[in-house]
Amino acid sequence: MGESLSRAAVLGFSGLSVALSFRAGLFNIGAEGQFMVGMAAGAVAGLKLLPAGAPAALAVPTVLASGALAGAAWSLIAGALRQWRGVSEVIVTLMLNAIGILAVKLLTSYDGLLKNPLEVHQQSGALPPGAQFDGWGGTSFHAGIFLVPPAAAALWLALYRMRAGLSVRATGLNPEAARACGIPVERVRLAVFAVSGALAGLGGAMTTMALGYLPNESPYSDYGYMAIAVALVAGLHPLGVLPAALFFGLLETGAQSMQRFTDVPSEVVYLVEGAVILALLSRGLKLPGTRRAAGAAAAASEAG
Amino acid sequence: MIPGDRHRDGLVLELTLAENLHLREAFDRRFEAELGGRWTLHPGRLRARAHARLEAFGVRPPEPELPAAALSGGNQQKVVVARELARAPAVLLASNPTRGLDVAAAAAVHERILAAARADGAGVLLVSSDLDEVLLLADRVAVLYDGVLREVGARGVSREAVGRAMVGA
Repeated sequence: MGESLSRAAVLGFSGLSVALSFRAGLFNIGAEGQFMVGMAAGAVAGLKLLPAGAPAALAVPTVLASGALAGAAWSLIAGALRQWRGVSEVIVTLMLNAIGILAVKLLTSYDGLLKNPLEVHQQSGALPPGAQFDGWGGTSFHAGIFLVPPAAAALWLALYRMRAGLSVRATGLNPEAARACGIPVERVRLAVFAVSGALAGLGGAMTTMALGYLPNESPYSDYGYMAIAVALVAGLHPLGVLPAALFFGLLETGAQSMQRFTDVPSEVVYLVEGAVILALLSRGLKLPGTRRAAGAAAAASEAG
Repeated sequence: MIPGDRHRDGLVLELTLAENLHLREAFDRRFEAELGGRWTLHPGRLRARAHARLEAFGVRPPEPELPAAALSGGNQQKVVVARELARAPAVLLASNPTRGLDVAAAAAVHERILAAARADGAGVLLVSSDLDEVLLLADRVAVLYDGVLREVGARGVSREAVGRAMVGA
């Protein structure tokens, strides 16, 4: 259960990141890479910036903020290239994912910046105790998980109760009309790149803190892509991301114990995940022409 | 500005009427207190204002929570006009404002544009491919021919004079 929740927390942050991007009409599929640089920046802040005896009140916000900033910066690379060079954000974020993964490997390689020389495995030394989220009672349930619901609530508030959110939604749904109404569409997009990168980066920093060190690869590899499924299942709604992330977290954890204790291969779970995604996405499916027909019918009944 | 293509430039079809009606005012500091706080928007206030405006402009049905896509073309156009005239603009740019509307809806839009000009003193630049609309609304008529804008006449100018200007005679 603790493991499911900590997986759900990772999926939650990345899912919120994807949901926000997609709402703004940006196909940012770089949650994976933003998560990785978030992990790395969290470790750099914890090991190089903070003194070993830093109290949690200082260490926790510093590490989380570093992760968020790194994620935002990583995402803004794609934002800037799209903005000023017209490069598709799909390609750039995808490429940056690979670079992020390799950057973490580099940092923890044999002569990497963060490699712990006393450790056989390629990983960093331990973060200061104040910058660690300890598992409770020997499980992997840690305090960082409590960050996800407030993040989802904040994103919901921002999208549906604030001016900024209205400009994001208008930009995503119809950038021409948004621009005609004086909404600074370009600035909105850059801000969305930054915030969604920060959300994924937060998840990365949280993961580093929960592990207590920077591993040489993500313990949750490909969750940045699974987050796209989470966001879509959630209908791109921030509050929907919470149950969707929990659902996928449970499935992922269940897949492993199922394989361990029975003869059922864990791939069955991936089949289930795929089936769920297909079923949920087909709800919104419209056959060609139905929308036009419905619109015409509405116009006819409204005429006059 | 009243654009000719309301689906592309005028409305965000998936957003509610309340949201569409406030796409300008929500980002105008002058309406800040009326719509919420410094950063926030109060959905109840948006809804109440939108309802009043939908009633005033004769939009059917006057339901602020409906998505804009649910309305007929004429009613959608009234929503665009309602939003654009809400801030009592000094200048109004209208490009084919009644394109695709039925006679009654077009008349309602004409009435609003005239009221904005006469009662509120807005300067209106109307660009239209509907000659009847131009002759009905305009105080001064000009024709753009071969890159040159030439004034043809004032209110009451004959259809023939405008027609001659349009072929460059």
